[in-house]
Amino acid sequence: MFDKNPLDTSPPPSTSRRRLLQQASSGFGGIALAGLFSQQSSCGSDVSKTGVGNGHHSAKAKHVIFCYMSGGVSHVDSFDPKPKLQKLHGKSMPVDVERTQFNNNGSIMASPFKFQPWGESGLEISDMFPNIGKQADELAVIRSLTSPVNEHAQGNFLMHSGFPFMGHPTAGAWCSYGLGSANENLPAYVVLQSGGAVPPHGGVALFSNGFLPAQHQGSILKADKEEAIRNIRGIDGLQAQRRRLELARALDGQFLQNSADDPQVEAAIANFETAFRMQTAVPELCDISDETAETQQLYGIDSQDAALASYGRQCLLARRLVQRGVRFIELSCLTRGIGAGGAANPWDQHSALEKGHRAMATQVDQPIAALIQDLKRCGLLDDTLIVWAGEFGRTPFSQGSNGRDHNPFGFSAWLCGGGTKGGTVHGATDELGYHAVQDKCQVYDVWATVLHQLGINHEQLTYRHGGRDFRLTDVHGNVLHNILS
Amino acid sequence: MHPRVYLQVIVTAALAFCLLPLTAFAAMPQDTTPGASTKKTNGQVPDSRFTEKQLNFFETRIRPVLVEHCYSCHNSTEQQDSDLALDHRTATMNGGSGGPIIVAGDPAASRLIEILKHEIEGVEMPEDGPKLDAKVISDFETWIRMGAPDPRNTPPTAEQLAATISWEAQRERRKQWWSFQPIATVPTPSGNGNPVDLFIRSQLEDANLKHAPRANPVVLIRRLFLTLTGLPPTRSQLLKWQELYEGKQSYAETTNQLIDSLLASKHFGERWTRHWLDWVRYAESHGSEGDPAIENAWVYRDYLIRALNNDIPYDTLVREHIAGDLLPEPRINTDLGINESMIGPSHWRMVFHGFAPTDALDEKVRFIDDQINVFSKAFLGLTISCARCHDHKFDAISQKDYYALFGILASCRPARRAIETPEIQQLNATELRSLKQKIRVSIAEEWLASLHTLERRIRDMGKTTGQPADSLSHIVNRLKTAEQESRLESEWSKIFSKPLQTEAQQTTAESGQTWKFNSEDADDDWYRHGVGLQNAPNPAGDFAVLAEGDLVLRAIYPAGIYTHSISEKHGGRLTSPDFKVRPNQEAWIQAIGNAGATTRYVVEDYPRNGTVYPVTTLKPTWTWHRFDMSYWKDDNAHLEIVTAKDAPLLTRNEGRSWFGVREVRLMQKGSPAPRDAPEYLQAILSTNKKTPATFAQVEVALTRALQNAIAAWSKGNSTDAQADLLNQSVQIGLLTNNLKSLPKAASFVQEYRRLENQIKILTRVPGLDETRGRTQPLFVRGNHKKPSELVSRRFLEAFNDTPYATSQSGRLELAEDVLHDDNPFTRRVIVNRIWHHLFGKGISQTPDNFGRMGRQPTHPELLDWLANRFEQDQWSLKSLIRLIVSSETWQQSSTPSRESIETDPDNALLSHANVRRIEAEAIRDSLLIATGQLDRTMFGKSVSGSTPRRSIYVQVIRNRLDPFLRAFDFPEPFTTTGRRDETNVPAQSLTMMNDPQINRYASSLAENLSNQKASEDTESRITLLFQTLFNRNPSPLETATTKSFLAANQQALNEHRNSAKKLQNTVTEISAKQDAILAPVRQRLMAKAMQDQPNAKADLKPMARWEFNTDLTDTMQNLNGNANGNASVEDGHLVIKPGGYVTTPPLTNALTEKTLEAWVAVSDLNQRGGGVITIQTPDGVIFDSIVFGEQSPRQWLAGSNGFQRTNPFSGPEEDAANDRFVHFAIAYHADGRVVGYRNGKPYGKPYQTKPPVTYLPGKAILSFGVRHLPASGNRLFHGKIDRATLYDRALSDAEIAASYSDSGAYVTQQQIAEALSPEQRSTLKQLRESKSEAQKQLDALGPVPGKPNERQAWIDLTKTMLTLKEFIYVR
Repeated sequence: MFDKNPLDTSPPPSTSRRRLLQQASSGFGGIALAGLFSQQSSCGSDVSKTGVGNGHHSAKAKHVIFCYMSGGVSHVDSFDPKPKLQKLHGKSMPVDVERTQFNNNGSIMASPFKFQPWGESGLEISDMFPNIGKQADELAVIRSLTSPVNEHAQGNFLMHSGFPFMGHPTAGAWCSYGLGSANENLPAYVVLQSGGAVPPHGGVALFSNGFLPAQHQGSILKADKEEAIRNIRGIDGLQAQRRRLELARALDGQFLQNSADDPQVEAAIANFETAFRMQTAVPELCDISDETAETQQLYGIDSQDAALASYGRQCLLARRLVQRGVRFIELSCLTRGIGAGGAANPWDQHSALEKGHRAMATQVDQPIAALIQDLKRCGLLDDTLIVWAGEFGRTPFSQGSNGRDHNPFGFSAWLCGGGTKGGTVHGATDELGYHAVQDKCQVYDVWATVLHQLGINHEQLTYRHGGRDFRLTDVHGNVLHNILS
Repeated sequence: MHPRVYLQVIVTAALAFCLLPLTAFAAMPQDTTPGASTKKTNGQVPDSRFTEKQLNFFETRIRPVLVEHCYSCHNSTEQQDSDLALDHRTATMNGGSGGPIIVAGDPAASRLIEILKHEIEGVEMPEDGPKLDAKVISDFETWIRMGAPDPRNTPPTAEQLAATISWEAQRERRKQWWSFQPIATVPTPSGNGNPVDLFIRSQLEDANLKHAPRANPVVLIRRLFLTLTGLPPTRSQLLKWQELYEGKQSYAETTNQLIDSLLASKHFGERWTRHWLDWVRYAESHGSEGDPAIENAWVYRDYLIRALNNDIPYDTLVREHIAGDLLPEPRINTDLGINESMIGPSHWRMVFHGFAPTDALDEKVRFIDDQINVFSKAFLGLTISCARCHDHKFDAISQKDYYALFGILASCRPARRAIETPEIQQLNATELRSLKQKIRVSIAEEWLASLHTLERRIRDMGKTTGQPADSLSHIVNRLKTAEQESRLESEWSKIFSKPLQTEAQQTTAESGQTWKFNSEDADDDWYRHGVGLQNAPNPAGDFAVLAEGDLVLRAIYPAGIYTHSISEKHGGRLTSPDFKVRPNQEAWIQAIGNAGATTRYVVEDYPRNGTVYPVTTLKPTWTWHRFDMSYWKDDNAHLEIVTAKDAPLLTRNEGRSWFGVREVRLMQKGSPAPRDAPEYLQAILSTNKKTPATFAQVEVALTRALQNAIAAWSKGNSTDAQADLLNQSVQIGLLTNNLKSLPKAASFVQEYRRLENQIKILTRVPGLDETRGRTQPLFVRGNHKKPSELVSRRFLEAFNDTPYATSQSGRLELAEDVLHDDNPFTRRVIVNRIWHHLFGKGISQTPDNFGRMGRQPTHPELLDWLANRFEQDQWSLKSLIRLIVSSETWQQSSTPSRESIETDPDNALLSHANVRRIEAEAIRDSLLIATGQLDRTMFGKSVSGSTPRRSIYVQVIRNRLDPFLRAFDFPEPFTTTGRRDETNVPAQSLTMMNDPQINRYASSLAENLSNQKASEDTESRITLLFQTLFNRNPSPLETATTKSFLAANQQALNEHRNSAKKLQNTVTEISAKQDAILAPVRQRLMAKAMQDQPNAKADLKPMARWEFNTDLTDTMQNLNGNANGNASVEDGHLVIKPGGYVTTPPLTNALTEKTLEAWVAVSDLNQRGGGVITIQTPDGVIFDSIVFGEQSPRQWLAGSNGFQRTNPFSGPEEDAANDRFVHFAIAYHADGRVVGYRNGKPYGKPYQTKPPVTYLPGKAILSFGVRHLPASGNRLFHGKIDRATLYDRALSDAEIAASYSDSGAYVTQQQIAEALSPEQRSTLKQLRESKSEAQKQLDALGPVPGKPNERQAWIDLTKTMLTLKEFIYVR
């Protein structure tokens, strides 16, 4: 039954298109590489490969930028003014206090930050965010977000994936799965890091594809490193690589024939070429020398404050990624190391809240405000939905003398752009800012709204795994129509 | 492109199978009876408009579907979603709020069909379920075309409906699903050959297809090696087997021989263990914040490797996985001296744990859910976890089933179990126990004999420091002083009345519960695990013998529970029964212990620590530990006392760790604290009722008390007070404890120590502890805050709903149910898993889900036949694998026939082999083996992915999974992964193209090639390369292609070299021109700066200083540098390129305290391990150095020989030194303190280490750019040094800050720029531009290859070959 010469591996007869092409091209390199380079897409091009969720209804937004405030920003000091705290400062809580993670509860603590109304909408934001305040008319603030978990890693998983533990696809992966990629040289889901920022507690699983196919996983791009993406830099220079690529194409072609044009093998060969192109696309993306000095200043890239400058670079790169069709971009805060806010959870001020929050806010305020302005003037804000949130808020009472513990019972987040209604507020916490009492919502509602704006019905974006259909919004989620324009 | 015609055939075939159960609904009592047309039901008269045949069609094809999928939401009694009822004819035909859904006779006009086809958005029925099979929908079309015949004239009564849609009825219907059916006795098809082939062939023939020819041997050899061992053949293995295939033996004979040899290979177990680890989501850490290790998880991995290599029957392994710790006859491995069965339950512990959750019960529910989920998918192929909130949506699994299993697991606690055999655990214990008795008696004799001098010794006793105020020595001294002050009697009363009072107080103040572990009250209900703990508390007077040293006894103890009565290597875990935490409750634990023994209260079995989960380390003196549990009101808790290696999770690596505990109380917060009464006083008092009048009488009294105490101790009937008195006396030296002064005991003690020394420190693995079996309340809608009815522990009601009659958890019973004959899942699931791993696709393609949402088997009869055969073969996995891989089906070529492409494009019928990408581990292992790096060491602790061990040994840390393996679809350890993804993402290609490790592999592969004998000429070397990587010879075309690449590449390399040289020359010339302009300006400015700040540096008095302005001169003394290799001074900096470094002549003074300082820029932040400035012995054996990126990338380090004086500073990652100079200094203080500074500020954490090395005159040199001599490898630094300084003392923080800010001597680029004339500036601008252009071209060329062209060309070739798809695919 078998060929008598065991070492003869000559290909089986095949009349595939590939074989014809191969036979037709005399030199193995020329045509192939010409093809490679001609396919580079221009900025902002819209040649999206269709994802599974495309076209549930018409989309308002095409991109999401997730400004994740790891550690938990105090809502009563930023987006949720509570004058009552000023009145009751130093008093004990008039209501039952829920379990806190550190069980070191002090008395009610007035906000050390001053609130003021901003813009035409008069949206109240504290002086923690003076620059974002100027963009108040673009923000839709949710003041009634809640979370069932009270610790960082589980909170992070919940905010990212809707489930408080590892293993599930995160919002970025779902968006990639739902929308497909608009730039074949860049991943659809990018996580930016710089200045030593690390993934929040829970690790890289927070950017996981979970059980979705791996092309939907978040790719970490280090905004300030020469090797922005793992192994993106060839050590031999492009010319040497190109020579090798040509040889690889020829020999891979033979193997493809020997494996009867197996579609998987064919895709793997194509993938190799994509990777080759990424080696140019990524450095080009990260090279901001073509941005004007004004733009760079706007983002704070010239700032003396290295962390601000570094976060500013992330924000600018986020805009450049949007222009290149990337679907979902998450930004990472840098640690200031104040009041228990360690590398993975820089907003976590269990002590020295004012100092820590001021420092953290200084890092992100100007860059995020710049991002909103810049997207707007480039006409990209309509297409781009910014989501700003942490894993929980902080208690209205102090932890120790001057910190605040975690508060998942009611906290703030905001959306901006992408068809949201600026200058609006959704929901409210009680007068102490402790529990959400009006229009209480969960992260499922935020993601349902985001998917809605992306033209996806969140109940229909499903993937079957382990015997059931899973969604980003699990079995929950309501689109927050009143913050949509 | 591919015609899909054949797909239809397969679907039909599969459906025919699935329709059997639907037909079988008719046989059930609910709703209606079969053949309704012939029998009257519910008094309904069959509609005469419809024929019997039509009505029969309704009964067999339509009604079961309506009942199963529609009735519960659309009925006349309870619920009519959209106002639609489908439980009788009139309502069905009327439709709902959206109008009629059926137009009799016209399926195209009937909305029902669109709804079933999911063509109407928002109304996809059945809700939440998959679309019904196309065949079922087509039945509905047929039915409507018939005019919708329907005998259901009246709505069912509420009772009838309830019976129809009740859970029991649903369950019975769902039990008809194929996988719930008993395994059929399928006869082996007639015909010759492997039964597998007969089954496959029969379905092929039905489809007019044939098996492909057998794969040619060269393909088969690679396929067999990779499939069975996960490693490709080495070249010599390949050649050996090729030769056999070419020899006299038949293909089949040779193949069988090869199969046997691979099944016998030790690598077989390694390969198949990895599959198994996927099934149980193996992990070595728990994830979440902190990601704590699962200590000794790897022991479980090794257990599987041994088991699979030894072909331990699968049923044995399943039993061990569920309840290996409970088996009456465990599997003993005499070679290793371990109880293998004990390791099986480790998988229960590989759960994800949250970090310090404030809702502990939620966390417990979650981790038990994780256990149920993985267990049920892995071994039963069922998604039982889906029934946590409600009855399963699709399968015959009730919510009660879920809580029945939950109860079993909730009756166990996270634990750690020692795996050694009882003989090893008890080694020498009997001998030691009897020696202990001899030691006791002989010591007692010595002590009694010494009592005649005791009075004198009491009199002479001085104050003993470090003893508490109520200790014997203090009391004696108080009485002595009191006598001198003539108040002896009152002092005596003061001392002796107190303990009694305290006792009295305690009894009245007590509330809550008390456990006193004394021998009289041995009947406590605590759980004891570990060889150190006996069933009853140790009686008063028990003692511990020290394992070494001059002293004999560690202590003599009161009654209590102790782990170290025999040996401190004996561990233990003592836990209380569960209790519900009451408001304001406190726990008090009176314990003693050392070396990482701990105590805590455990809330809802949560094994980690945190602010609200405190853990207390025990102290070596008796202490009452208090825990305020008020935070956890209403949660379940228990108390725990453990030795270091026996904590369920928070282990510490202390082999000798022990604890003792006397008493535990649960009390109301605010109750008076329990007091440590000095008990020994009672022993004195009980022998001396009279108050002494003189100190001499005190001496007598004490002597008498001791005499009684020793006598009692010798006989083994001490009281607690006597034990305390003896212990006090021993501790303060009143009774000797010195080996030399106890000659009678000495030989026994020595023998004791010899035997104790032989005791092994046991290996503890993650496992479970049994407690008392508990009945779990069902949580309403899965909400743990809403417990409702109690559910007994039992197996799935679809098979056996009898509650387990056991006071334990029921794991043993569960294991038997999982393996029971009636349970068809276990065997089918494993057989299918094996098939999946052999073919890349299971007979059912959803190996983890055999439920309704899974895929039905393509070859159901074969599946059952294999399941039966597997049982007959004693559940032998090797026999099963042998049977399958020796089939022609498995050995086919992967080339499809034209017919097969057309009719079965997905190859469901297996008319040819599947081309498959090999798994992440196999890719990595292939790289290692092909490049000659593979280290075949088996077993042991897990290693980093950067080592050349097989991938099965690479650590699986949840938050830091190996990036290489992850790139190739290594699964996140989160749930059962029976079928891995095979994705195709750029990260994979980028890894293969650019990963530095792979580049190193490629170089060593090229190196190996040139060293081999068989490679004298290019062609044979190419052949060798193909054989090594792809396990075959190249075709002539491939050889030609490869050869021409080598030639062309050499040419290209040559051109590269020439162009690079030219460009480099250009750059150098321009640099020289720049220098000619800049150097004088810099020197002028420098001179001025020195003038302006004459004292700036002088204050710091460096010993040596190198400015690198124009050369390597030391400006302080004569330590002028010599450049080696690629090191030179350019632009006022020392520039060090790969290979370059600088050394100085020897120092002339001795140097101990010191400071090293440099202004340094790195050329690449990712470089690892290079030294900036180093002081070292001339041979480099001893050194101290400013090192970059050695232990951790991008971190500065105080490097030293063998890291002897090195701790990581753990400073921030360096992110600036690539584009500007940073100042880095290390001060070595005389006391061993080492402080790092970056830019004038302390860097990371200073640390304390050994005192600094003294470098002797003439025996030490300085170097720059090399960590230490000899200069090679990663010791070399690339970058620039602007200045460097050596001080003969450790500078202070302030001095370092001053040195850093001392810009007087440092001329900035800005200053230079400002000092230039306009002409100079313009010239420089031009120069800069041309230099930048040349540099750009140079960069584009890439680095000049370090190797000669020919070798480089080969390296380029091997790099390319590793990126080829053939390397990672098997066909």
